[in-house]
Amino acid sequence: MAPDNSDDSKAQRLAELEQRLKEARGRGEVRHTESPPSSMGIAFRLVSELLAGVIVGGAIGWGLDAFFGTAPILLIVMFLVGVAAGFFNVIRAAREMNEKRPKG
Amino acid sequence: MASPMEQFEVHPIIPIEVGGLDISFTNASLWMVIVVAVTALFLTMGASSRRLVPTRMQSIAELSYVFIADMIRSAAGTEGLKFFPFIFTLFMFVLFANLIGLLPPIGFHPFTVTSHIAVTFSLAFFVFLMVIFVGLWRHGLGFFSLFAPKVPFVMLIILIPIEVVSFLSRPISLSVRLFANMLAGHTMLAVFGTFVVALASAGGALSFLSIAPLLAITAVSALEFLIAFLQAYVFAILTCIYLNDALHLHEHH
Amino acid sequence: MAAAAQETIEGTAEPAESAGLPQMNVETFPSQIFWLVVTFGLLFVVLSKMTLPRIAASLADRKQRIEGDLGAAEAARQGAADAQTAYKTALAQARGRANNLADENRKRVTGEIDKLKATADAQAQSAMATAEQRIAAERTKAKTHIRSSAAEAAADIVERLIGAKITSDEAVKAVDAAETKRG
Repeated sequence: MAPDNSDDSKAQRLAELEQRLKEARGRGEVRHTESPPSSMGIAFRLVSELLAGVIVGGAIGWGLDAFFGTAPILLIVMFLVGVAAGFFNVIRAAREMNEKRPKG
Repeated sequence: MASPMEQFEVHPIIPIEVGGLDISFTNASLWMVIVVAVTALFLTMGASSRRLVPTRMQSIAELSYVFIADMIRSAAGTEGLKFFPFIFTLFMFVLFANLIGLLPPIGFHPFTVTSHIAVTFSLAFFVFLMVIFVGLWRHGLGFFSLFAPKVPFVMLIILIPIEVVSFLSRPISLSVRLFANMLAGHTMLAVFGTFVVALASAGGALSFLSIAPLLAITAVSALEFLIAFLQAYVFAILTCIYLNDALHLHEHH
Repeated sequence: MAAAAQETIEGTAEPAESAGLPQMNVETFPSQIFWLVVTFGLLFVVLSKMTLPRIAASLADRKQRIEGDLGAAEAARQGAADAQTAYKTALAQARGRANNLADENRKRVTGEIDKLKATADAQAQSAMATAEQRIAAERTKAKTHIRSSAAEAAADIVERLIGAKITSDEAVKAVDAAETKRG
C-alpha cells in the first residue's frame, strides 16, 4: 500500500498549508498593544484626579468669594464640591481602567 | 554646588518683547525646538524608506502609527480617528520631550520641556477647549447634558456643580500629573547625581561609596524611561477618552 | 557614612531651593506658551502633511501586498485541494469499474462452469440409469435362466436317481418351492 500512504501524507501537508494560511491571515489583523499598567502609574493617576477636583473646587470658591465678598462661605462649599468631584473623577478613572483590562 | 532645581530654570537666550509681553527665546524654547526637530526627523526618516520589509526606523514609525490608531479606536471609536494627526503629534511631542530630558548631562544639562506646568497646562487646556468645541459642534447645546446624569431633579442641584467641577478639573489633573511626574523624576535623578559627584570628589573610601548612588541613578533612570512612555500614553489616552465624551456624550461606543 | 555625606549636601542645597520652583515663575509663562504654540504647531503641520501620509501609504502598500500574496497562496492551495479531490474521485471510479468488470467476469465464468457441470451431471446420470437398467435386465434374465437350468438339472438328477420322469414344469415348481423355503 505504498502509494496510498503518500496520498495520505500529501493530504496532511495540504491541511497544514491551510492552517498556516489561516494563521498568516490572522497575524496581519489582530495586534493589540496596551502599555503595561504599573501600580505606581495607577496610583499617580488616581491621586491627581482627586487633587485636581479639590484644586478646581477650591479655586472657584475662592474666586467667587472674592467677587461677591462672601469669604469664606463659598470657598468652603466649593471645596466640598471639589472633593466630591475629585471622588467622581477617581471612580470614573478606576472604572475606565477596569473596562480596559478584559478588552486588552 | 548645583541645586537639583537648577535644571528647571529658564534663561533668555534672545530677548524678545512684543507689546509689553516677554516672549524671549529661552533655553526652554531651544529645547522645544530640539524636541520638535528630533521628533520630526526621527519619524520622517522612518517614513521615507517605505520598504516592504521595514527597516528598524521605519518599523518604529509604523508601529507607533498603528499603536496610536488602535488606541484612538479603542478609546474614542472610529470617529475619533478624525483627530488622529493631533493626538499622534501630542503623544510624540510629550514622549520625545520626556525622553530627551532623560539624556545624561554631558557638558550641559538637558531641559525637560514637559517638567513645566506652563507647557503641560497649555497642552491640556488646548485639549480641553477642543473637547468643548467638538462637543458643541456635534451636539449643540445638548452637549451640556454631559453635566446632567439621569437622576431625580433634586439630586441634580447637587450633582451638576460636582459634574461641572469634575469637568473643569480635567485639564488640571492632566497637566499636573505630567508636570509632577517629570519634576519628581528629574529632581530625584539630579539629587542622586550630586551625591555621586560629592562622594567621588571626597576621595579615599568615600569615593568608593559613590557606587551606591550610581546604582540608584541607574535604577531610577530605567524607571524614568518607563514613566516617560507611560505619561505620554496617559496624556494621549485621556485626550481620547475626553474626546469620546464629546463625540458620544455618556453612551459607550 | 553615606548618611553624613547626604546631610552635608542637603545642607548646602537648601538655600537655593528656598527660592521656590522655577516652574512657578509666572514671568516665563508668555514666552513658554508662545514658543510651545510655534513649535508644536510646526510639528503638527510636518507630521500631518508629510510624515503620517507616508507611513499610512507604506502600511497600506504592505497590507495590500500581503493580502495579494495570501490570496495567491490561498488560490494555489485551493487548486491543489481541487486536484487532490479530482484525483481521489477518478481513483475511486477506476477502482469501481475494475471491481465491476471482475465481478462480471467471475459471474460469467462461474455460470458457464455451472452449465457445463450440469450437462455433464445429466449425461452421467442418464448413462448411469441406462447401465442400471441393463444390469437389472441382465439380472432377471440370469435369474430365469438359472431357474430353468436348475429345474433341468433337478429333473436330470431325479431321472438318474430314481428313473422317474418328471416334467419340466414340475421341476420348476420344485425349484421355486426350494427357493422360497431357503428364503
